[in-house]
Amino acid sequence: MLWNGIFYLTSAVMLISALFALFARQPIHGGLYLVTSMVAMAVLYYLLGAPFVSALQVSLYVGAVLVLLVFMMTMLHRPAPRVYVPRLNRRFWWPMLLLLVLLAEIAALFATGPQTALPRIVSVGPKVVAEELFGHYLLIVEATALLLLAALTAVLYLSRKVEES
Amino acid sequence: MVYEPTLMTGALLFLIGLAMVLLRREVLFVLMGIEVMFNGAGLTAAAAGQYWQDSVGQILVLFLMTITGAELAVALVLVFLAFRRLKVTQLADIHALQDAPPLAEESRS
Repeated sequence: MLWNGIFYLTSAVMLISALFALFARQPIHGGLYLVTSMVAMAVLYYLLGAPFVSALQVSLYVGAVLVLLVFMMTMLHRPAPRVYVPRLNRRFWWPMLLLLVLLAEIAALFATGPQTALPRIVSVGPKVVAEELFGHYLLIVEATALLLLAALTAVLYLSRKVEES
Repeated sequence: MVYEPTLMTGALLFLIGLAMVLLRREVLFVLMGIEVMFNGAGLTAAAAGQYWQDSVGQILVLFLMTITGAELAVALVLVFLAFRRLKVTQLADIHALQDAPPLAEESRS
């Protein structure tokens, strides 16, 4: 089936590019792999019947978050950066052991559980999301606005201290 | 559509993000790992919204994106301050919570 093919292909692209970002040497390469992963994520959102979130994923993550990260990479560039690449020593294996245990748990969980087949994908458009968002969840929207204002104030304060020093 | 592979993809993405946080030393890569973990959680939320076939999962993803943006802005300013004042980009080198002595003299003058 075409939906399944696109879904598995996009999932593979997303996971593999995230893995490459894990082992990237230069920060800018990691950022590019992260962009690939997030665009694949937008395709997955669309496949899951969420076109509004898919558009926001592209414009917010790829457009804003990654631009911020790349901007910070250009600011932090040093002539001879001391880049740490994960090596096969003791500091590498202990976190890796924990991660492998988690991976085995995930595999066991999804291998033994029942498979729930959904009949079809229902696309939930922006209108339904907006009605729910500004109706039932209006208080949380206001709280999030307050949080953004607090973050803006904090960022302005911290960057003002940078200019003074 | 089968429901479990979507959840498993989200869990694997979360695991890769956790590996980035645990294995990398640069602050920027740790922040990227946090982004990847948020993406895995968002995929799980969107899949759950499709399971119930309503908009609550998408709303959760929207709040997740907003909070990620706020977190990243503050965290990047802190990274920039750490680089500007302490000249470090590695996470293990940020260990001076107080002002360094030459910096304190600068701020007094």
